[in-house]
Amino acid sequence: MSTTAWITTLQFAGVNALFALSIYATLWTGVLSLAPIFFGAVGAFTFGYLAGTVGLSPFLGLVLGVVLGAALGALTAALVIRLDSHYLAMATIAMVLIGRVLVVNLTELTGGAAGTLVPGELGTWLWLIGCLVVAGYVLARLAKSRFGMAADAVREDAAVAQTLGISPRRIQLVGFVISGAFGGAAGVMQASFLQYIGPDTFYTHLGFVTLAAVVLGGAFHWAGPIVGAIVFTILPELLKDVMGEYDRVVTGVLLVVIIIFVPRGLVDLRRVRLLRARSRQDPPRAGDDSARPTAPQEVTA
Amino acid sequence: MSSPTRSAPDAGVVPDAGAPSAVSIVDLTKSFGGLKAVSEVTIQVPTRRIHGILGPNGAGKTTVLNMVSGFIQPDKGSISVFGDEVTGLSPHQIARHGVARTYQNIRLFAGMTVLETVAAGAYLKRSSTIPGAIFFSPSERRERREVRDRATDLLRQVGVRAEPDALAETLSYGDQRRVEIARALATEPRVLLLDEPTAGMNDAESHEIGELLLELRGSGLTLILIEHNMRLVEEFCESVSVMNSGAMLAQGAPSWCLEQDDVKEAYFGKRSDAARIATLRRARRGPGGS
Amino acid sequence: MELLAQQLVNGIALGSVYALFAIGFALILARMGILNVAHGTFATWGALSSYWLVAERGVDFWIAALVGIAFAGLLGVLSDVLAFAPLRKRNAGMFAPIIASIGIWIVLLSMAEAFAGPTTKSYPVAAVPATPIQIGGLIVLPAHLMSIAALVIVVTVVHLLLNRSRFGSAVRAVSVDPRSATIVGVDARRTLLAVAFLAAAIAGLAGVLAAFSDNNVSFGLGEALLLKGFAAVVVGGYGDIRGAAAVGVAIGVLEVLSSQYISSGFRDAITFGVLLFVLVVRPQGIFGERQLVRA
Ligand SMILES: Nc1ncnc2c1ncn2[C@@H]1O[C@H](COP(=O)(O)OP(=O)(O)OP(=O)(O)O)[C@@H](O)[C@H]1O
Ligand SMILES: [Mg+2]
Repeated sequence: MSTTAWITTLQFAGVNALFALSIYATLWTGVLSLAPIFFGAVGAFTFGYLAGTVGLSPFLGLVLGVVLGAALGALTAALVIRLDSHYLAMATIAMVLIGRVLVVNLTELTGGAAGTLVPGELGTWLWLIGCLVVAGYVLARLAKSRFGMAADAVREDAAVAQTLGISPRRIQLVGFVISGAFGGAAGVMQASFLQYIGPDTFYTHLGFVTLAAVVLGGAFHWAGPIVGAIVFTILPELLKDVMGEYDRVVTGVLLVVIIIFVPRGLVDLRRVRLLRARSRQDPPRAGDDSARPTAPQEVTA
Repeated sequence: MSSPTRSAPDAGVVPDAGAPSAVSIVDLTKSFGGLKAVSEVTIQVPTRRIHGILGPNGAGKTTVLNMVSGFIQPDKGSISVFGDEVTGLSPHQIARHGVARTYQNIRLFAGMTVLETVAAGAYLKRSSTIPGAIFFSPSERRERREVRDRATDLLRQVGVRAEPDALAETLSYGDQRRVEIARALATEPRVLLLDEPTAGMNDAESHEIGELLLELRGSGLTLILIEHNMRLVEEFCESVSVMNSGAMLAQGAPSWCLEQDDVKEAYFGKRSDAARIATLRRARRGPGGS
Repeated sequence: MELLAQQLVNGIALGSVYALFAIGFALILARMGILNVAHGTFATWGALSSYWLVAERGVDFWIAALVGIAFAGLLGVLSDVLAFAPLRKRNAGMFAPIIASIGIWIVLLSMAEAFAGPTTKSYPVAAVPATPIQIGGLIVLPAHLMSIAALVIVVTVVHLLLNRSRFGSAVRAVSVDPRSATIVGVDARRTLLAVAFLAAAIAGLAGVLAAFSDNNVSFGLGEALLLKGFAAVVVGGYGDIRGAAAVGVAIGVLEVLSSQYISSGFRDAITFGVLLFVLVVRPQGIFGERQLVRA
């Protein structure tokens, strides 16, 4: 692969990382949602439309993407948070599918099936890294905050979290707002790099890749999605030479393999802590690879 | 209908006319499918009382606790905490009324350290905002320090010996139960519900828990505990409710209750003789206590 | 009046395909606790494989349809063996199966795209039954008749199978608790595989019928069904397959009538409008309780 091709690939890895962080923001609160792809689409097409019609500046476009995304996140949360988690996940997948229907049919605003052109001023390393740093910083700061610990608790055991006075829906609403802001920004950045967006730009494939990135990198620490996005964007490029058009198949297979064998992803603080605890207590035993130490069993008659 | 519940005259289970009970449970009823898990149970627990709920397996004790903490909704009856009706509220609202609890089958958060687990319990007591956290304001920093110190104190108070940065799920069984108590205490409750806090502990450890209960009561808490260890109940509980098959058998002073024939019968079957009771009392101390 | 009756028949036929798809989707959700987003690709592969047999291999339409259905069922079994069973064994929680099913979706969708190419295809005219049938004053296409008949048969058979047979009680026991089911002598493994096969095969049937009704085969066929099937399950619930089936039919009728009397552009919008409305107003579903996990 040529150097320019590598640079382009890395840039898309960065945008995917931004989407992945958006997925992480809700997953952190125990909600599996692909809505970020929809938030991204709304941000990008709004940006494209306003840049084309009233000459909105790219920076304002980015700000608008964040604000619009956050508002949509809150709205989505208000609509779907009461649902059983299966329905919730499916409802957000439906949002992505419906998003495409909207793009195709709202020809006036989106350019319909032909798509639309978008200014590319923001499509630079500086803006990309800037967005990632801000997103990463926000998540890192929130990690051990009041919100962050509540989010951890809700994800691990929502019922127990409730008895600590935490309202899961409230935490998940905040998760959706953060997710929306990141998703909107990611959409505007994606559009700026591509300079062209169409019905398939923000569709299932993008959703798959970013979700795979979160799962691979690890959904239990904010660094996970970034690591995962980089690996998952570069890997198919490397495989393209070998696999040709089947490179997506590898993405799918990997997703299944990871969720079975490394369910907590590459960046897993818990594993680190377990290893540390084990090395502190006794010398490592050979062949001991049980991931979870069995807690003493409750005896019930 | 079962026979009316008998209660000891001097046990204080009948509410005072004036002060509201810490926890007042009236006519609580819950069925699962056809099974009546709890039927018309009434319990009044005055403030600063250590109250035990006893009964054989499947008596409905945990179900009562689940209803008080809002985990499950009763079919009938009402629950109030310090005079405030909490029936039908969700668990997080009930927690805001000052009710905290532990679990029979320990429920710690996977992946969290001991310190983090307890700090997570401090949610209600923290006031920091999301912008404050993002910009790492001075008040945010102060609050984090305070939460850490408070959690450390609580861990010491309940007697957790493990490192604060150890994974909670890797601790010994007894320490896990103590971490759960610390997490509940971090919410600064007025009422603490404990579901078999000494299960799996030996005599010495159980006794420590008993001392802790006294200490907590001294600091103003009301405690309701489900307990199978009779010696502990007799030593530390001021009043008990004995349940069987969802119904209330007797309420009052522990020694009085355990003398009642139907209580003995529920626990030990019809032919109750002293020797069998003694053996069973030893066996009842819990699974890990051998 | 005649037009309305005709459109009703068309709508019921379209809705029957949605309903069939929804039945399989609901079956996996209710009995295995898996929200299988790869379900649409089972339908796609059922259609693609039967089309390939008819168009490229000159196989008889009916035989090809059966093979397509069986092939889809086989994909369902494979998914379970390779992805869901290992997760079940590890007690992996709720999200893991959804994520695994997304992985399967990617694999089967991109393979379908590679296999079928980007263009849509139609069955060779001579190979499929196409002569309209006159019933009363109505003209019914063979495809429509087949869809409606297939729905009636599948609903009846699956309902009886689940509620009146030994297999049904085994399925219920396993879906409540595989371990205790094993204790009372149910082969949990085989029961789950049978459910996986049944659900995916019904999806394959829906795929074949969808392709045949539209005379249009493409790799994206299952995606449209997935959305409609999801809507039917959300609104109709998944506890009783008859609820999802009834709503599936209603969605078909609504689509056909709205494109006839309002505007064809509104077709999808109306389905999703109904879906959104139900999600917001009655999150517990129209027919009541829909809680998968209890606290
Ligand atoms: N969520 C539930 N669904 C169905 N049945 C339940 C549920 N929770 C409890 N039960 C049933 O209700 C009855 C009372 O259970 P509960 O857990 O309250 O008993 P317990 O007194 O705590 O017993 P143990 O000493 O064994 O903990 C039991 O028969 C139990 O099987
Ligand atoms: Mg219990």
